[in-house]
Amino acid sequence: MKKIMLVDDMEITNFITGSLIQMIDPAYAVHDYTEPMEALSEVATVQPDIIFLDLNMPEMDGWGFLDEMQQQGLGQKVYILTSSTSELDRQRAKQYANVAGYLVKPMEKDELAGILLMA
Amino acid sequence: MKDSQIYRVTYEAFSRFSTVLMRCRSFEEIGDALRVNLKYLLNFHVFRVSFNWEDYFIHITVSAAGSSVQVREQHDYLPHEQQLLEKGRPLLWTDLSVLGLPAEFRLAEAEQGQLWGWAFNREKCQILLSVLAGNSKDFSGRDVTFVKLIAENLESKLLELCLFQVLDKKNEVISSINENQQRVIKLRTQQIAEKNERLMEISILNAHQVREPLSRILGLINMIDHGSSPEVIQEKIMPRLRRSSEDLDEALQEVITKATSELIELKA
Repeated sequence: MKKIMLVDDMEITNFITGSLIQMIDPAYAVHDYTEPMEALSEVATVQPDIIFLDLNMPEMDGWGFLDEMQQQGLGQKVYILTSSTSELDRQRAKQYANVAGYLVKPMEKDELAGILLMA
Repeated sequence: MKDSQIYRVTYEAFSRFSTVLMRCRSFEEIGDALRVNLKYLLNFHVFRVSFNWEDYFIHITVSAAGSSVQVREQHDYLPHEQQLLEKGRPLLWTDLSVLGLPAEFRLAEAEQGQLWGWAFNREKCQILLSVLAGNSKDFSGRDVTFVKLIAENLESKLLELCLFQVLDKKNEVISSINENQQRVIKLRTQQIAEKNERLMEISILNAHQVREPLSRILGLINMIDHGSSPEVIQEKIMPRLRRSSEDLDEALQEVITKATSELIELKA
């Protein structure tokens, strides 16, 4: 079954996304992290099909996470899930080959279902 | 030549002199005009005019060697001119050796040099004329009429040039004030633009800070809409909704405090 990784310093956001995924299909394996460093160290072992990544986080932000993935040769598919509606952020996200989409919170259930199907 | 013919020729020479003088646009041009045209009106070895109006002291000396023009803020009167100023009437010197005259006034002994001087005091300005004559350059009493006419012409022309210079200086002052104002306006405009940009940045930053907890609240409400069980709502969603609402409130309060202090800083 497909593995989904959630990276957001807000537990509540991970709770929302995780709950929606369970509603769509309880078979998905959800791995959620509020510490980006910890998540990064487990990407290689978990081998997620999709990573939902927040941008605005202390210590390591979403951009730092993506840069690290690039450095370590990790090409897992990433969806940016952020509350930022900034066009600048949207443009910047396009510079990463493994970023498949830019999503603005809150994510709709139907939208999420579509993404999971394509994973 | 008959007297009437002489007068006609002299009148024409004077008319020419007046026209050339009228067209002069600088003190140097006056020096040139005197050098070229004066010899048709008077016989002289040296002709000198000293003019004063307020802070302007203008000394023009014309001789066979050429003309020299001095424009000063302090006078450079020759000793005999000092005497003219003191006496305030025309003077004639025949013993030139005691006057301490500059080199261009030096004549051969045989010339028996004579120095004529006039002081004309007007209401606002003063003009001194000196004519150095001698045996080969005879100056007669009849020429005095022309000296007076020349003095009148020179006086009005020199005064006009002085006034133009004053106007030019005032214009320069006004221009520099204008330029300075332009600079100040440019600087202020730039500062305002920078402040505007800063305010825009702050408002964008603030909007994002507020949007984060708000997006959680909307997400949680979505979950309720999608049919979460009463137990899940009660135990899991409600506490998170409360927490997110509190975070939203906190973010807003922070934004207000920050925006207020930025506003105070920007006004300063």
